Amino acid sequence: MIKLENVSKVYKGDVMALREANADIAKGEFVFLVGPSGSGKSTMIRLLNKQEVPTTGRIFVAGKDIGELSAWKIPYLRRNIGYIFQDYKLLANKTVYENVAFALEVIGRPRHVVKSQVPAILDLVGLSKKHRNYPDELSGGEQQRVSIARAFVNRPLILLADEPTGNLDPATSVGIMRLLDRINRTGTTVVMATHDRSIVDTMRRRVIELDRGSIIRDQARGVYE
Amino acid sequence: MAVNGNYMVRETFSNLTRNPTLTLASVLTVFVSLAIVGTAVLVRQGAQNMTRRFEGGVEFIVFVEPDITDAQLAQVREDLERNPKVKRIEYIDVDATWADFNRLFRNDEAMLENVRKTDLPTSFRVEPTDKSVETVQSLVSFYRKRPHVFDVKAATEVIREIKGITTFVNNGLTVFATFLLVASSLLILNTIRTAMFARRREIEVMKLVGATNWFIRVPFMLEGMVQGLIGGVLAVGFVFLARNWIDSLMTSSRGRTLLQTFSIDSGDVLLACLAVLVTAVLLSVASSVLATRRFLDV
Repeated sequence: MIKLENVSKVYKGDVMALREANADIAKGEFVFLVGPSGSGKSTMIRLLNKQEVPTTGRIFVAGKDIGELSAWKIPYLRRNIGYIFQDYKLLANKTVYENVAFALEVIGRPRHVVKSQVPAILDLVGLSKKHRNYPDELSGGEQQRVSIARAFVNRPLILLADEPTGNLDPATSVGIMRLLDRINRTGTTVVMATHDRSIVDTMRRRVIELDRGSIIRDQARGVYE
Repeated sequence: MAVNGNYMVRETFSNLTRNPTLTLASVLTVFVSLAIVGTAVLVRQGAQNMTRRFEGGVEFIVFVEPDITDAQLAQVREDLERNPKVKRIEYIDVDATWADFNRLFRNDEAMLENVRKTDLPTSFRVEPTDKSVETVQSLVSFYRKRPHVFDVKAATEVIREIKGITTFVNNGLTVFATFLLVASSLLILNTIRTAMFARRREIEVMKLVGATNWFIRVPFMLEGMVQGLIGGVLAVGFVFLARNWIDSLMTSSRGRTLLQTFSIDSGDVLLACLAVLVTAVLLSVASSVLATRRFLDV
């Protein structure tokens, strides 16, 4: 599903964010990216949906070299890749329902699809009762659930999560991980960058460890360290 | 795109109402600059109508007798063509004369009712080789005395002066309007940029969930175009007002025959309105495209 071939990323000022990275992630896998801040986790995630372009190397998503994708096709790539942020990035002037519906509206989905999909996904994340609330009326965990609903409502093949539990307490984080696990079980490939040792150790999934831009460990059913 | 026309309209409208002071500023600047453009076109057309007969180097007009025969007409023509001081002549036949007459006296019903087509003398417009006042004067008095010539009218100093003044006024208006047009483009551009900046989070989310650039752009571009068009429509209204105003000014100055010939017909008004609307569209499209071009790097 995702393949990195000798991928390096150098930012301005010769900052080597990623160094000759190689990885092959199969459909339906759940992968943790771990490592200290600045080790290249976020860069790797941002490369996968072409928010960044690698300096050298090639990246394949669903069998296609995304480096050869012309600019106007990038939106269509992203429709297959859900994205979850550490800070949720919900729109404050829209309700829970509207935030999720927005993701479908702006890719031109017809209204009847929006009307049937949004309640279903809100039910999945357990927020049916709060669909009329605004983001600032929700707890952090609930906000992250909305953001997961928004990322998953279009049933993408891949879900990218950049420190989704970074702002949440441990108990809430467990709930979010259960949700991601459930989504993963539907066949969605999940790639999640995290600092959270206990989560990685409990889940026992594939772990890719980065240090100063290099992959130093790639272990099935791994732990944080 | 048509799938969600509703979304586009909603977004455009909310963009326009989000920052009413900026929107108003853009619309008013567009209006003022285009009103000046429209007025400049009207003045130019009016001045052209007034001095049309003396354009292209024509310095005097030889009117022949209204009941002239073809042979006599040929004689006058030959008389003019043979003169080495005459560079070029142009014959204005009955139909063209009648059309001219109708245009010049369109505010004068008495004239229009009482003059028949056949009453009007046809004429030759003459461009001399030498355009100095002395040569023109001597040619005028020479042809006044020739047979079958009804009258000879020279481009007077006044007409030359008026030509000069209208050119000057027009150039001034054009420069002024150009600056204002640039200002209004920049204002539209800035309004769109501000709207996009206010919604940068939304734009970021849209890009990450896979909205196409056009989908994101169109509401902002429509916003700019609506501002331009509202300004343009107001300016068209102003052009009609200006026309009425010029008309009443000209009518009240009856007796000063020269000013009376400063006439603006419906074609000129249409031309001015077209100029205003085309400028409005070009201006707003250009600034919208410019404004929305460089936000695409997420």
